[in-house]
Amino acid sequence: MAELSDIDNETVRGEIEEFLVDPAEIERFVNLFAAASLEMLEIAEAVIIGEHEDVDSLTQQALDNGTSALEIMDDGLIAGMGIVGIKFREDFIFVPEVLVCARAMKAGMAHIEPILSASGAMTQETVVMGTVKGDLHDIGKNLCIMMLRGAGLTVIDLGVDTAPEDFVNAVKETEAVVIGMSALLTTTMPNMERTIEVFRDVGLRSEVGIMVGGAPVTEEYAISIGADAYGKDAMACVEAAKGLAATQHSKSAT
Amino acid sequence: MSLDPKHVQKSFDRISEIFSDIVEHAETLSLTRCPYRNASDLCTALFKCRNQEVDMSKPTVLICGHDGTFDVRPA
Repeated sequence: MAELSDIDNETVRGEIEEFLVDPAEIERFVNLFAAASLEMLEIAEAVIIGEHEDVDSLTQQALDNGTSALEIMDDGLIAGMGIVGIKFREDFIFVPEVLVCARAMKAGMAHIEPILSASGAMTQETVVMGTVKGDLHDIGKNLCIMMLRGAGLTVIDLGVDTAPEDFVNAVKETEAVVIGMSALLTTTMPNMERTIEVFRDVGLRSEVGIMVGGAPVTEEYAISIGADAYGKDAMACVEAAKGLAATQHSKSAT
Repeated sequence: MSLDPKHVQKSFDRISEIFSDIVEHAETLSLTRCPYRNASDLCTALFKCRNQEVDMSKPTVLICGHDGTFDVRPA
């Protein structure tokens, strides 16, 4: 077994020392990081502290130096996010910090995913996500986006207060086959239906699978407004997006 | 360059495992702590909330004054 002192990065060593308590987890991460190169440790460190610009440049640099995409993914990005997950589980950090770290990881994955796609090792589906017009809540949507990206999907995040036309334009620009709408207020839920109507008006309704979610949204409501799927939570959102993408592709193949 | 699809899948499975655990814990945590409240107890929400309190020493900083006594999942 490797020792903590075998890890050539002070921040990563400090994170393990300060935040990990389970001996099995300590052993797993010490072994992983002790075997990792300095470059990978730097990437993991940048993910842990949520520095997305550093992750972006370090990942590009590592690829330029000939490091394989999978090594960067496993020993840098995922390893760093693993520590973030444990810190969150143990209540050392909270959702806002996790989302900052997930954004940092995404900055690295943005370099990796095209390589994986080009090699045929993954298919890139695009999902357009946004909180509907009039609604500024974004945590649930951001957790869904984190899960979707984690599942290898490309996500166009339109942010909050998204007008129906913005969803339509994003679909036109990206040729996404799935959109996801979030609403956290009963007063903004009707804007999901309005968005669906706009897709119908511009003749794009059959071109996209539409999923909806958010605390006050129910499956019955989703059906009543003509949505194709309801995401109860972030995990269900991934299944819904994959299912809708598959349906759209099979429709276009026939 | 050819990459082993099984290795790629395993890596994505690991990401999904980490993120699923995060989402599950976020759901539990949201019963007592607002998801917009960060580790420094500051409010990160883009909207106004009755629990936001102004830090008199830094008027641009909003502190979360929520006491954790009700379900804040809809926040």
